[in-house]
Amino acid sequence: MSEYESIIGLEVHAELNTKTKIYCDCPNLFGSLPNTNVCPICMGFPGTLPVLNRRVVEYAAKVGLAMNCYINNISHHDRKNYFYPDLPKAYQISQWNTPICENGFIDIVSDGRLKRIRINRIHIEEDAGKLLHDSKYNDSLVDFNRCGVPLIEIVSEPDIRNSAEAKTYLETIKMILMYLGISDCKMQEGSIRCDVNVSIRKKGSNKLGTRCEMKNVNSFSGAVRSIEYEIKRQIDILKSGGTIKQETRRWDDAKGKSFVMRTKEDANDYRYFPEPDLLSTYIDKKEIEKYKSSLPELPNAKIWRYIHDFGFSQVDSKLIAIDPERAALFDDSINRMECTPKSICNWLLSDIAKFQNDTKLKISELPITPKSLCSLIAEVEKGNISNTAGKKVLSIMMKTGEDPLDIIDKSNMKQNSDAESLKVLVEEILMNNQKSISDYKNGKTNALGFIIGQCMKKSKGNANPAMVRDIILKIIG
Amino acid sequence: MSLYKKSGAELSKMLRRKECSSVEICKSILQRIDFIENKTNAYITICNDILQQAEKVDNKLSAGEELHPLAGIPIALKDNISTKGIRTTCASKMLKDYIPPYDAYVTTKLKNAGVIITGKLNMDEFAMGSSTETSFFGKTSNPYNKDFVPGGSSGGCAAAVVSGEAIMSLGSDTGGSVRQPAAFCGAVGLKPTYGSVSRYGLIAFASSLDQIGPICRDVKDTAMLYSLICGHDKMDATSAFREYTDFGSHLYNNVHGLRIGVPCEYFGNEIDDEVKESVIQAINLFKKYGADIKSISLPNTKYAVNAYYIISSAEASSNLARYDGVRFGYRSEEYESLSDMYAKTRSKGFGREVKYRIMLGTFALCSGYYDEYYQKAINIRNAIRNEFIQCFTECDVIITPTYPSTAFRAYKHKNNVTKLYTNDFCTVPASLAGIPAISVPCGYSSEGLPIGMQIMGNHFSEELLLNTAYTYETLSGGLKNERI
Amino acid sequence: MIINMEHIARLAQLEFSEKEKEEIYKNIENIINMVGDLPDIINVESLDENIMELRPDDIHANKFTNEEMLSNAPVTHNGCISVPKTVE
Repeated sequence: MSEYESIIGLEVHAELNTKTKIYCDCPNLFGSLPNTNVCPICMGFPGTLPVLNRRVVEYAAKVGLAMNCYINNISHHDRKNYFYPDLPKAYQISQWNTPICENGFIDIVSDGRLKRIRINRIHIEEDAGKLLHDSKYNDSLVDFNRCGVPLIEIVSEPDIRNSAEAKTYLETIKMILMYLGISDCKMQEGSIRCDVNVSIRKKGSNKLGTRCEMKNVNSFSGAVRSIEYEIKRQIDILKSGGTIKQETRRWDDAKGKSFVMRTKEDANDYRYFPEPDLLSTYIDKKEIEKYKSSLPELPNAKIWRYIHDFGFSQVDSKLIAIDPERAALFDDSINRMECTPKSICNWLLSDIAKFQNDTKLKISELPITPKSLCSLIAEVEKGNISNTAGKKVLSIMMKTGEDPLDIIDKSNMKQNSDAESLKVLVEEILMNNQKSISDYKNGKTNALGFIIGQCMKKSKGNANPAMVRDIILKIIG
Repeated sequence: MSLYKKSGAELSKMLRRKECSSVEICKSILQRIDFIENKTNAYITICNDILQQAEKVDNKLSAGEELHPLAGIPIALKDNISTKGIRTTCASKMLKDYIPPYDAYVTTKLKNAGVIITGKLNMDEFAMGSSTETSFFGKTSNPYNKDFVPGGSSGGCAAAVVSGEAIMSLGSDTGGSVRQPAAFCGAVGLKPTYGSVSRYGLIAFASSLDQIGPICRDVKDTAMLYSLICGHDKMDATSAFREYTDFGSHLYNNVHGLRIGVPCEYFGNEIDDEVKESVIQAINLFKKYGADIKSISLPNTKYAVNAYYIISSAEASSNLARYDGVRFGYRSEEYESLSDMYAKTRSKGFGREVKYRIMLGTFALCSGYYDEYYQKAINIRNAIRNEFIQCFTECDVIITPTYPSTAFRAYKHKNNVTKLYTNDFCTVPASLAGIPAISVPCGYSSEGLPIGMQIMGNHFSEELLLNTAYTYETLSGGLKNERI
Repeated sequence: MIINMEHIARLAQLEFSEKEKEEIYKNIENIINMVGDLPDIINVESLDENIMELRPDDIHANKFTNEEMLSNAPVTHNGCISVPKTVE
């Protein structure tokens, strides 16, 4: 392995969550009965024409800006011609020469370091239908509902060097799309898919090896496994003295293997040419500026900031950043400057995450605000309530949405941390437990625990145990 | 005079004056169809609800409803214009049973206006041809002589209106398919500016060239029908945004000071003498009435045919790929696999001419040939367009023959495909440039066949073209429509 | 120029019988040779970009039913269109 390095490029296809399809106003819905979200346009009936959905262009430009691309004011549409039953017109309307976005990059956080992956282009195109196979039925069945669902294709430069980087890159793209709110990124619904290009070369060489493309990679774990499989396959070929042939391979996730789909010799000639049914798409400079200024801070930037500014681990940073709502709650809480970032992080990732996991509620569905969360955490940090009491207060907050300070007041959970009154309490207990004092002085250390326990009991659990201990030791020490 | 012989404009007036009913007009048309259709074979489908449509319009008219001037007028459509519930075949075996689930934009316009749709007219298969001989439903005959072709691809349109089987018709023009059959049959045919009539529902041949246009018996009817169908359509992204005037009601007779360009490239040896003479006579008539005649040159004309065949075939190869036997149309009776089904369906479903174009177009887009063929053709197209635009700074209209010859005998060019292609050189330049062009009858040959004159103008100059044509028609007395 | 007609036919999903091949291929070659006679015009003034209007992302009520959309299909099964088994 060490003798070779792998060069990986990814083409990610993501479905956009627009209301309607890209070239007709059929609803863009998943899970409907076969061939019910279709019309003559998306089924390619004779005489129909495409009309481009404005929101698709807007979304693509936003993704481009998020990935630091140059946004072309004018972009063009082209036909990619091939026959397949799921492609009604026998051509896919895509973009070839002038896509909406070009020459960008994203910085991913891999191994605690920033790594820049260049983006070659992002273009818009239409999805194809689905072929269904029924064991009881001899032929294949076509469902055209997915035809015309808008897709963006994000094409990276071959800057990825291993499967872990590929995984992080894919996760980062998914997070960005979720942040922009433009794709549901549901792998099981096939709303994000990728093609993987892999080549290998001897370390130190700067010549690119022959690359193979793998299609049908429908999950991030599939991407990782297919890359590892492909790297091993290519190294095995080279080690045994063979040469790698340029080919397109089909990844079979269930078998964990890839198979040749077509070799370079019988590669499809897609005969791209300008789509005559569409004119140029124009995006106004002002519009681009507007999108740019409305871009949120992106998850990869957040991860890096959390690591860098707060010293969080990469795992914790990602766990916060991956959910835009959680990250927003975290950032808003930080900005109140009422408690430490580390505490907020801990609360979010432990008790609150557990509650979410039990109830399947999103952050936005929880009755907590940055203000209420911070005042709870601050009470704990100040020692006004114990950590255990804090957890109790949180669970009440989750049920009733009450203010944590009201809960604390009502339920007597407030911890007594007032040195003067604690001293009075301790003195009274010590007065009545002379035997324990002598026991302690004679070396029976567990007598201290007994005295603290008596103090806590007397205070109905509200005394700050750490302070009580300190006061006892000061008096009898 | 029988009602079917009258023009749309006359019938429109008569309907409003209650001098006749739409039902009477339609009965007259149906009788004429009964009498002559077996000689012309202009129709592929004749609607079975013509009289019911007419009755509805009559009821509205007698109730005093304000209707479109063309309400109640029988109009037929080329069979590549989609009509919901009425089969639309493109004269191909591939679509012989295809019933569109929607109406074309122009169909909707016609229906909303209360036009009577009489049926669907014969054409060259998928509009590829200039003789209407390639139709799966048999050839159409020229109304002037049944041994001659009516032109094409909208041959059924020209034959139907000239023989009285419809008052007006809508055809489509990709490289001359409205103008040339109009010339061959002595009708008026307008190919509008690209983008002025929505292509939604027009079954595509070559998307960047296709344009629906009227074929009628005179200029006034042509203007009225064009007025009805032009306009922006949000369903066609290539449709132009603009306001159009009512062309039918503003026609005038005046060519005084009109600058007419006469390009030498259109009057060479390829043009039959009789055709040349007729067109020159027409130009002289314009001159006599005060037009300013200028000799001009459009040197890129000589490349137009080649560029046209590359571009139109390239687009066609892609547009016709959807006929794969899956969702609609013909599917081969026997096949062994998916790929076999595709190849057999397409090979049996398409006629030979269509296959030639698909092969040529596929070739021109192939990697390794794209730059040498498709890209060069696109460059020529731009050069031709620029040449026209430049030319229209010096003249208002350009007049040429519509076709180098009059109608030819059926099967004449059966064994010489390229000859038929090169003869399109008068009509394809306007198609490539996207400019409007109209063909008007301007005399007869010694064989008694009509001759057509083409008037071209700058983008969206339809009003000027119609007025120029109208002036000529008035000055020359028009063709006596002796066929009907 | 030698044109690989079989390759073009495969891309176009057309097939010709051995009998018709000779004539058809010859005709197509004639056509290709004719149209190939084009000059290289490079200094063409670029035309203005033709910009199109985009469609708002709104759903409209009039939908097509499954039956309407499948009524022209040669072979259907369970609301789907049936095709020879695709190689998976």
